[in-house]
Amino acid sequence: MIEIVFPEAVISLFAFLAVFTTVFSKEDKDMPAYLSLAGIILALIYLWTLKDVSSQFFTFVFDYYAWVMKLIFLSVAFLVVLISMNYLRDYDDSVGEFYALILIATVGMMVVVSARELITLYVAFETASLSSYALAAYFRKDKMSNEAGFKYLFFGAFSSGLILYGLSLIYGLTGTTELTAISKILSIDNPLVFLALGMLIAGFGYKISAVPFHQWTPDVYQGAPTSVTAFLSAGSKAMGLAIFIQVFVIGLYSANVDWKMVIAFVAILTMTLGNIVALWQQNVKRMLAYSSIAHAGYAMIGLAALSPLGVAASLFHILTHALMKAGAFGVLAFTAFKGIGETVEDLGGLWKKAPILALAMTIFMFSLAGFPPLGGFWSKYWLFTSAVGSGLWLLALIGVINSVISVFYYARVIRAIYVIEPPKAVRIGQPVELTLAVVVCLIGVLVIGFYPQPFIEALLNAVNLILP
Amino acid sequence: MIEYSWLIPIMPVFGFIICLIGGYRVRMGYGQVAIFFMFLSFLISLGSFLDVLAGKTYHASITWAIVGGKEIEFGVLIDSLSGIMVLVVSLLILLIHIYSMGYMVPFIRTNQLSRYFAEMQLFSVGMLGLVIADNLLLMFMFWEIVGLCSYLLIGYFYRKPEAARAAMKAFLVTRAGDVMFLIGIIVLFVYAGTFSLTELFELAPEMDLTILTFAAVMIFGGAVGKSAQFPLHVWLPDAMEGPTTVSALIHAATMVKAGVYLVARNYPLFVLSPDAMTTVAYIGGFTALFAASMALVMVDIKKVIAYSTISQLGYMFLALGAGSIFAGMFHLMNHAFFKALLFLAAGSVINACMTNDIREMGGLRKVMPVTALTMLAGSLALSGIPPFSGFFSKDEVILSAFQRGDMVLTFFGIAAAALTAFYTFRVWFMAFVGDYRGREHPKENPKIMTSVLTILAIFATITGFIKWWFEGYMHHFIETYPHEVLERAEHIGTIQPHLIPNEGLMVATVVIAATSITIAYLGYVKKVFDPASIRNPLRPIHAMLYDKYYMDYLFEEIFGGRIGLYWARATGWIDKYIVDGIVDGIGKTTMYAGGGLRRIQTGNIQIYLSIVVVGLIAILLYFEVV
Repeated sequence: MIEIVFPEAVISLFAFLAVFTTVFSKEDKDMPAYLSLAGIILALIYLWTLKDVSSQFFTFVFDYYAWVMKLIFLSVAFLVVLISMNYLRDYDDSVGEFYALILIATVGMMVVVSARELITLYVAFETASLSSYALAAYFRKDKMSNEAGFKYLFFGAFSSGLILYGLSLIYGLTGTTELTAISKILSIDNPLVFLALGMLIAGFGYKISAVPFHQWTPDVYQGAPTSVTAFLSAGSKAMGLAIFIQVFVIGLYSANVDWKMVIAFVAILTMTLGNIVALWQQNVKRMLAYSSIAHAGYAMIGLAALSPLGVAASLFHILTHALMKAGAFGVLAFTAFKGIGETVEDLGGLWKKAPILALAMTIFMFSLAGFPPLGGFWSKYWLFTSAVGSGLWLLALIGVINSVISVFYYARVIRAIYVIEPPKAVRIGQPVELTLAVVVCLIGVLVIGFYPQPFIEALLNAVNLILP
Repeated sequence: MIEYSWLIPIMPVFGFIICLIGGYRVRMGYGQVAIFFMFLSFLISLGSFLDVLAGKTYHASITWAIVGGKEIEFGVLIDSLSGIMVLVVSLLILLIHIYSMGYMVPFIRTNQLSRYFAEMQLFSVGMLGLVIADNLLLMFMFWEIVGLCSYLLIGYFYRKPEAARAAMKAFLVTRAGDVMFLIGIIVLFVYAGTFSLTELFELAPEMDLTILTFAAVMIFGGAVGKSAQFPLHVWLPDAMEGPTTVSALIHAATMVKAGVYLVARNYPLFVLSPDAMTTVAYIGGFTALFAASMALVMVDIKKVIAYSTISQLGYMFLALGAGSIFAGMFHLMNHAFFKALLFLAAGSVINACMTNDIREMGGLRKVMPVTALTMLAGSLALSGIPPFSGFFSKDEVILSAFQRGDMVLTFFGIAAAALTAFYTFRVWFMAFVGDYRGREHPKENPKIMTSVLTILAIFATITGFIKWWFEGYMHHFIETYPHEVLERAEHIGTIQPHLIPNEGLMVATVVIAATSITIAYLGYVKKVFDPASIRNPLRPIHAMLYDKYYMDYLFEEIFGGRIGLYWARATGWIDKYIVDGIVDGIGKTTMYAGGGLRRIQTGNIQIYLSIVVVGLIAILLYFEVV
């Protein structure tokens, strides 16, 4: 039984090792990164052997759903470590803690998807969240990073309060913390249920940056070190949606009639506001932050549809979004790190400066805009189809209109890359690790685009396990 | 050969990759590579078409994904419709590739040709794939590739701001149509459970008529965007900023036909719904007349031909909506040749005179005899003068409207024909007759260009004569539709399998066209009357036509312009100043160097948190109400 916790155990151990290296040498910036990569790879390999295992260790549940989601989180962590390596080599303080924090956050995320009971869920959620607050503020001497970390922490604390309050109400109403038991006992007659639902939607909505709980997102995404932004956008948000799905789909399914419509409404607000505000951003990091908000709205469509295909499509969206955003922020990490800048104008002529990264960025933009046959197309396609299938016509229609609006600002980035002439266009060396990470994301987006079958199928299987 | 037809769109993939990888370094040689692969594509298309003639059809598919028990298959469908379409398209792509070798030479220094050919090859992949796709989703994907290439190629001279702007406009306007197309696909998939064309046609008669009408109209919406029909026609005239070869290939001969082809391909869905058919016919008929009226006053030779293209595409939709797929497809093919010819001839003229303005041309007949003659053939075909190809097909289009008994549609058709003949010859007379008014020293273009013009001119002259054969061919094709579809369509009278020749109508249209040409001759050659003197009393109308019925302003007001701007700014402003608090985000913080840390004000965060609380209360209120 105990072997199902090994992946988490391995990651925790390597997180400790990563910090431990700094005791001997603060100068060696690569050692902790290599250790982290090794830990992630070991965990991945071990996780792979657990594919068909379905088992439980105290409150820690391992099933196909947990397996799929853990694969996603580990892959994201792997990519983020790769992206961070070049970036952190020039950092003038020790970096062991940085990698350790990423690993600890990843452990939190991995436990979240194994949790089927409120206490475990909350503890794991906080493990992941607290690490990411520290990560956002990691560049201690950088004001923007500080401000980002501070805002993130402040908001996070507030949302944790909401979540905790909501969860305790549910516990009070049902007398159990087991999600499946809750779904049987909970009746919607008691008005307190609605209070709890509202608290939870607001609290989790914060984590996935749903409107109107999104305001921290642009500031934090822009201020945090870019590789951390990649982690927040690809990892934390995925975790937020996973926990959303677990609590609402497993635990609160019986009360679904009402929360479905609230989520649909929040989804509409989120998509629309995210896309429209993104149109006016000059800073690409900030633009992508708003794009992240919009994408959270898309992901909620599947949750509102609440059909197996809908929920699977949401998870599929998590996967493709993680790849696209990790890749796109990876490219931005490169431009920031090489002093090119972060605004649309600064990306001008990128294809002459760094052709591989420019091509990758182009594909990510097309995929984010939902062009077939790239990964982003399929996730939107299945999300909209599931909405129509559940009779939510308006939601699907607004989703489609939104994806048209979004083309405007993604196209601006592409246009800048190829059309704007930079003052001087010199080839800039593309760092190996970062380029590798971006290329992995690129391949992922292309493979999922051209051959989505195994991915959506795996997620459908996973969802069928957790849907009542 | 038909079983290798899936290779048709694969061939240019190789060309695309070679041009893309090798590109940017070497400047020449990619044209030959592209032509080679297109030639292979053309050969396979020809072989497949010969097999179709021998009575074969080919349908093969592979499963791409299974979702929730529903299969998404991708495959190839070669039947009478796609067989002949793929042949015409690949032939035109090949010819225009060859012409490009001559036309693009002056641009070598400023732009790398490899980029041009890479984009042309990618376009070929999309267009050929679109034609032979066996299901709607696959069609949509190629549809998007084609749209993307159109965007890239319109903006080929990306240093010109007008070109970049036109490219963006085309991209965004056609996206509006694409959205409708996608909605149509999703609706059909949700209700019929399949994307496959053949399966959809089988299931269509059992579907709810309202749903079917909605889906058909949405699909037609995609066609309206791609084929530049009213009210989404605004992008096509601007798209003339691209190289003329691109205008010829994409914005006359092939891509804009994709919309017509889409309706023809899904014809069994349309014929079941009288409302959908009427929509198609009226949008088409109105566009035919509307666009022709604007072509009357343009002075840019390419713009005239562009409006003419919109107008002629309207004819095709008119025929399809009136129930004759034969007339629609016949006009599509004839038009593909003569319009490509007109564009390439115009390109030849532009190359020689270095201007697009017909007021600075004149007398070119003497120095450019081949261009003049070939363009004359194209003009006669466009005007519908026998025995040129346009005569046969335009006659059939008007006949289909007439036979349906719809006098409004018939009027659209005839009135547009009268205008067409006039503006076509206005251009020809102004450019080729009289005295040269420009400053350059025009001379005939290289052989590689004129030989393509000659080939196309021959096509424009003779393809009309396939009418009798083609009528039987398409009739045979219609009979392959599911039995139930045909029966129902004939019952509700949406389909007209046979067009009965009507000599009176035929003579009338020819006389009207000839009269228009005569008027143009008297005005622009003999100067019996001065066109400018007529323009003066009609100044308001002239201004309205010249300004495209002010549609561009309207669109810019709504989308690109002030209204959209205010709306978006307002939303942006709310988020920036109210939601983000009085102190806006970190972006600005850096500008006030030094003060950064002090800007972390609790006031800011208080506002943020109050918004959260308001949101929370709103949710709770909702629950309360429910």
